Amino acid sequence: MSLLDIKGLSISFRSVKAVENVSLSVKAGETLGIIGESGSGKTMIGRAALGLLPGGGRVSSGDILYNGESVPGMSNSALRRLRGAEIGMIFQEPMVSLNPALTVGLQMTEGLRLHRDMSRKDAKAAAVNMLDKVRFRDPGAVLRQHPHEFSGGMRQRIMLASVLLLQPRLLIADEPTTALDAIIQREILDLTMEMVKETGTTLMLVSHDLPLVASYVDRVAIMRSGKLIEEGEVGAVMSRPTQPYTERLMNALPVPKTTHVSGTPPLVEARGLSVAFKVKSRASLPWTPARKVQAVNNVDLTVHEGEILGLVGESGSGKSTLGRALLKLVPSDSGNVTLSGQPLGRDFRRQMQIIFQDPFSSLNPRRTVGQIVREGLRHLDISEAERQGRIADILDRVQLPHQTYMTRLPHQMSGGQRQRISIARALVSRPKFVVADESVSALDLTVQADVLELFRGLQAEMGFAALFISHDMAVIEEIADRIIVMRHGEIVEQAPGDTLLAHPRHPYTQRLLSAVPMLERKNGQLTVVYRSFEDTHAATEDVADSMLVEVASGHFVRHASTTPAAQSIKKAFHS
Amino acid sequence: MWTYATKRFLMTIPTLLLVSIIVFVLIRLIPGDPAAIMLGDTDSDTALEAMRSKLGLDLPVYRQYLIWVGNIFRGDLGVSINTGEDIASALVSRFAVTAQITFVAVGIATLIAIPAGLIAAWRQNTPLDFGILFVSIICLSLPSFWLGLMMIYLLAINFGWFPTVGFVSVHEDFVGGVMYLVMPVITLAAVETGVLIRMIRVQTLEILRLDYITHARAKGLSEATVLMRHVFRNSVAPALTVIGLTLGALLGGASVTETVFSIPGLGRLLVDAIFARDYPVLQGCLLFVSFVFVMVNLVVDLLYMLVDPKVKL
Amino acid sequence: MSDATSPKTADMRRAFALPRLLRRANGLIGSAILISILAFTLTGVVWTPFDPIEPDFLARLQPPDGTHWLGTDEWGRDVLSRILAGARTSVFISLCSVSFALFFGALIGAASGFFGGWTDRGIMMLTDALLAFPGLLMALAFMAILGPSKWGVIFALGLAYVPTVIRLMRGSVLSVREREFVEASHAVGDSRLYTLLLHVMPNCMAPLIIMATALFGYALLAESALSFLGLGVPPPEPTWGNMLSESRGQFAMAPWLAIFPGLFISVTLLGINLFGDALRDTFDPRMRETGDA
Repeated sequence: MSLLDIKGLSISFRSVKAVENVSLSVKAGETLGIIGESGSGKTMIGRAALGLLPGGGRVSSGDILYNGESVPGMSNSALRRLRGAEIGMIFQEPMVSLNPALTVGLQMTEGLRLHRDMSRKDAKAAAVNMLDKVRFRDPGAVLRQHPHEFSGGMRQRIMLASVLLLQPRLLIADEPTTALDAIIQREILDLTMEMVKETGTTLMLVSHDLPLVASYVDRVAIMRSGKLIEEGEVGAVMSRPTQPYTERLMNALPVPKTTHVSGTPPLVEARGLSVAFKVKSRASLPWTPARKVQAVNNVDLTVHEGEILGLVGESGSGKSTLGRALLKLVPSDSGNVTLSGQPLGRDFRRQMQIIFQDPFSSLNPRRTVGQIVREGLRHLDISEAERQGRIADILDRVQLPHQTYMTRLPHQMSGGQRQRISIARALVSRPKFVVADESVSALDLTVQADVLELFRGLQAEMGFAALFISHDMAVIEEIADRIIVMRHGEIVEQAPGDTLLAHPRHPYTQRLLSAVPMLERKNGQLTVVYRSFEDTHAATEDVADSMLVEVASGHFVRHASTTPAAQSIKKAFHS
Repeated sequence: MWTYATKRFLMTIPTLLLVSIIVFVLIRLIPGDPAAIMLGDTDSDTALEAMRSKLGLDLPVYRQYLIWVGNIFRGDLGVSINTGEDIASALVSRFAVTAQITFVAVGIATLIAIPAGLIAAWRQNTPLDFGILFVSIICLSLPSFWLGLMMIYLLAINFGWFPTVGFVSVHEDFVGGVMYLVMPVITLAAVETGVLIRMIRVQTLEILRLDYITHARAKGLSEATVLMRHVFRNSVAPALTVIGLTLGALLGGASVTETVFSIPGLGRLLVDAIFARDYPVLQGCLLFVSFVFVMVNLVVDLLYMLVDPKVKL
Repeated sequence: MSDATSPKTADMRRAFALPRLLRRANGLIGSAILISILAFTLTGVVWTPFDPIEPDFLARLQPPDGTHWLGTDEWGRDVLSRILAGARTSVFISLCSVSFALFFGALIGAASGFFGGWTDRGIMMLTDALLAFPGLLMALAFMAILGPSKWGVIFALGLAYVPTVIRLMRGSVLSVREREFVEASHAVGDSRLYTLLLHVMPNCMAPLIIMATALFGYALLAESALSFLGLGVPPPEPTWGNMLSESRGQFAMAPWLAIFPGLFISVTLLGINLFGDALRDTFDPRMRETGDA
């Protein structure tokens, strides 16, 4: 018998249907992935199973049976007995899903004390035990702390522990790792699976990322615009998708670009670039010196004409700051940047442009598409006729026919369309160099694939060079000729794309790469695999005194300066 | 935590310094020669000169300021031109009257507004919510002087339930004092209740949307526990700042309400000083009121620190 | 990538949905009240049933009747005529003082937030110090300097509200300044002034409009309060506040003298508050309430 049985479920918000006629069942002990992009209604199914639809939402038809009992028909007190104790839920944003005003201990034990009627002491002991299982070093101390004292990954581990503490039979995890960096994302998913297996909990994993989820679940259900379009055993769905949409979701997996390392001359060169930010904490006295955070530390970087240089790193690695420092959008403390060998003069901005991350904040909401794109030409000395010609031309090139889109306002367009406008604004002046800062990160995977393809096409046609910044190794693999890996403000490895993918030398690069899901065909079955690397021991992590060493042609790795390879370079340098 | 407290405390020093300069400058900007006002009708230039030098008005402005600030530190705010009363002691006795009314009014407003605001948000878009909102917007739209006058007309003159105007200290005659307090307190509390209800409702609505509230519900907690444990603290903390602002503003003298009910409070002292062109009193009042305001805000910020764990370091 | 519409999208839609304002009950009632008051005020500019200032000793302290709908005062002047004439003065004063505060406050606040550095620190320190005086008190102090007159009230209220507007404007500029389209403007090489005027300021208007509505209410109330205390517009020119003030002597026998002007103030404030709420809901539901009058 199935644990959760969803029968012809429809959920509506006033007149809008968020979920339409979905039937799905989850058997006890299995793991089910519910996959869908924004607006697919995937989140609402989980919420409805707990009777926790957000304001204005209601089950308009159909039923959800938990253990044979109808959830929408339950009384409030029956629902409360169900929540937490029978069905647990983990939320997407670890930063906002724990109450900032209460200690972790209180939030972990309140459910236990309610459902299991435990004493304060026993509940605390259980919480300590569970935190230990999710690998906190000092669980007792964690209980006394407040959520803001933990990083996103740690908070998600606390969430996991506090939900599993009640031993629910069904765990609904709603995009539990989307807000986290790739490496931590896998750690959390691995940990979740381990715990779920150990306790025999049934798991419903809600996500936008089919490739990521595929290796963790038994079955998947694909949702699109509120409808369930495909469902089945994960290997079967992936190997023989019946819907083109499912195929598109899988195509979001990286197809590494065949890289051509061109012999073109250097276009943009940075030498010894450093940027530091002053940070003042709230609890400082007026005379306390501001703490300096070195966002970019002594970076050398060269972008050749017509190449796409990929820059990958986690949040806080300094990659965006580096991109902005190249364009002088943030002041650098030391180092210099040259364009075609010349220092940046008065009108370098015509030659160097930037495409931003957030399609909602990068366009002035009060200006039309035509006006926004025209901004890119403001400081160009050309005739009005040519201006209009160029605007129309670039809009057509980004596949937003100018006749239709010229007078639209940003809010009338989708995220993908808005990102195209951002691209058009940057390219309309025909720059030689473009920084693309996380330019596809805020988009759904299928839209992301389209925009990447567009970008690649434009680059081939117009021949500009680009620095493509992303936290997502999969995106970088797909677009970059050469790849730079950055961490803590420094470059740790740099190599042509295919070299880096095949022979990563730095342990950090290896960990980044092994967090990227890959498709592999085995006996006609498509499966998701992860790369694994032998420990090369070649590079050392987190050493204060370190330097980039060329280990093969064009392949640089950060080594501790005490390693033999580095020593020999040093010697050659000094003699 | 102590660093933050120290910092917050030290920050009040430049503010108070700047405030004292503003007060000093404002008073000097008032047209008319204080010496002439003190002398009354006189044509004698020598008498005027003598008076000016006696008042220290012939000294350079910065020295006048320094002398004034020096005196303030000794607790000497000068004497009233009109009555010769010591200003410092007048301020203290008037403040005691204002404080009685203000604390009671703000206390009542808070006690009504917090549950009302929480419940309105919790039951958003229900008749209960609309009812609470309607009452609060009416409270907010009644000018205090008119509400006061209407109450005097209805409750005091027509029904005779309360004495019309005036003030008796509760220390001297408790029941009588309370009777005099009722109407001014209602007048002050009405507006503040309206402001606070709306503010707490908006705060609470915002908190209720957050994931940690859904998380709390997903644990199976009862609505009462969710409201009291998870919503209350987070939505009331910001309201603390507004309560502080209100308290500070009202302690500075609810001149209008005090005028309506003929209460000898700080606000009335200030208005009378303006009418009488009693500059030393006006100067003392402005300084004292802003001092109280700054101090109340300091206390509120320090209290906030106890509620907001992020500041504890 | 969550399922719910992202708050940013929702914001955008809201910002472009002015007609929606009228679909809200509070927006509709508020607008209706404000339009009626405006019509009433305009009537007062061109016509009043009786002369609002000339005494008529034959008609002293008459209760409301067919001739004098709202009664007469101790000088025999028609209360309705005086309320009509008072609307003109009260509304004029409020509009002028709010415009004054908005103009200077927005300019100084925007410059302070956008350019930062020492200018910002200096301006903010002064603003904080000025905000240490409760609003009405500041106005009282300015009245002591400017003396009771119509323009005195305008400047006193305007000056008293400038620091509040500076604070608000600086705050919104600081948040808009972080948006990527501002960086895009830097990236194409626009001057800082151009970026401020074209990209930053227009996107700071929503909170400013909401603030303007609230300030208009405060100003109307403060004008009445000042006049009530005898520090506002001096008699015989009527305002709603000084009518209330003058009513205090007789209102045990002639309550209509106090009831009607106060009723007009209350209804106007109710309209402003309802309209302001609707504006706030339409533009930005997360805008915080800020205290005093």
